[in-house]
This record gives sequence, structure tokens and C-alpha cells, in this order.
Amino acid sequence: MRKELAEHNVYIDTSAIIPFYFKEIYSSESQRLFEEHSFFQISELSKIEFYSTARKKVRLGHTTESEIKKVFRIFELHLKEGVFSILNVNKPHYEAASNIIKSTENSLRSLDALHLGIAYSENLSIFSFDKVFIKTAEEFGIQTIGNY
Amino acid sequence: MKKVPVNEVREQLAKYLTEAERGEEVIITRHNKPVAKLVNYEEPKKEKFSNMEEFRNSLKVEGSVLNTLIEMRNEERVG
Repeated sequence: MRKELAEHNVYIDTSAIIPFYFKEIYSSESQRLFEEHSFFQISELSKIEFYSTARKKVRLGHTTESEIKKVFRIFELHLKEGVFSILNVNKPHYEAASNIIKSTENSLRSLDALHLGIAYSENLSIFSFDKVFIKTAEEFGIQTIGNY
Repeated sequence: MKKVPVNEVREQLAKYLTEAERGEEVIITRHNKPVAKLVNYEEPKKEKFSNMEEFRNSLKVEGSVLNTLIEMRNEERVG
């Protein structure tokens, strides 16, 4: 079930973190979310995925090391300031991820399942710009927010 | 949350400011009646993030980073 933005705990998918730091078609929507709401959760997994994606842009020759370091600096400043609350990934999250993988017929990678396992275990809504990810989240009764 | 008379706050302002900075709410009273509240200042988020658009526009990145993420994810997804 998709619902509009409201005051509730939100798990910010990496696909919604990226437009906040890089110019994307969803940047305005992402920025509005961060300005209007207070309680954001990401996970150690989101951090890795964010860094990994940015690094890939360097490897592809689409940007430079110095540009990416600017992004990492401001992202890490936001982490330090508590803009995001970071969830450690632990056993209940892995178990929920396993159950999701076992029971879905959707195309799903292990890391998708782990993100979903975290949101499911922690009773968090998901904000994402990844349609496949959203579809699977909704299949498992995890609420998603946004309008895109 | 604690209640403190205004004369005490005046005498020990630094102490109560420190407590407010740590997140404690200090209710200031005059003649035992609450008249004001000392709380930690939080920068409004709109101001905090006001420079993000400028930051994004200043970055030199070719193509969409979001699309790169989605492509990476889709490559790993079994059809």
C-alpha cells in the first residue's frame, strides 16, 4: 500500500539518497522529503551501496575522484549531524530477508531482500525511486511513500 | 524538564544554556508561574539544506547516478 508523506519512520532506500546529493530528475522531491520530515533511517548497507554506486561513476569515467570526494564529505557530515539514523544490520534482518527471498516470485537480488528485511523487521515505511524494489516491498505489506 | 526561577537563570545562565544545549528543557518561572522555555536551538531543515541544490548543480558528473544504481541492481536481478 502506498501512502503520502506523513510523520512516520521512513527507511530511505539508496535510490532516494542519491538524488539528494546528485542532480537527478527526483532531486526536488528528495530534497522536499528531507526538509519536511525528521525521522530517517538508513542502514550500513545503504551506505555501502551509496559509496559503491558513486565509485562506479568514477570507474566509468563519468566523474572524477575529487568530485566524488566532495559528495562523500557532505554525506559524512550529514551522517555526523544525525540527518540519518543508521541501523546496524543484524540477525533478525537477515532472517526476514531470507523469508522474503523464499516467498517471492519477483526478480529480487539478495541486497534488495536485505533492505526489505530491515524495513520489515523495524516496521519502517520505504521511500524509494526503484520501481522493482517498491513492487516487492508492497507485495510484503511494507508501506511505501511518495508519488512518482 | 525542570522549572527554574528567573533570578536563578539570570545568575547561572551559562549553566542552563549548557543544559538546554544537551536537550533538556528549562522552564523559566516568575513568581512561580511559567513564563518562558529555554530549549536547544535547531537550525530549520530548510536552511540547513538550502545549499544542496547549489551543491548538486556544481558537481561535474556525466549521466544519472540513480540510473547507474538501478542498472547495477537490475544486472543482479534474475529475470
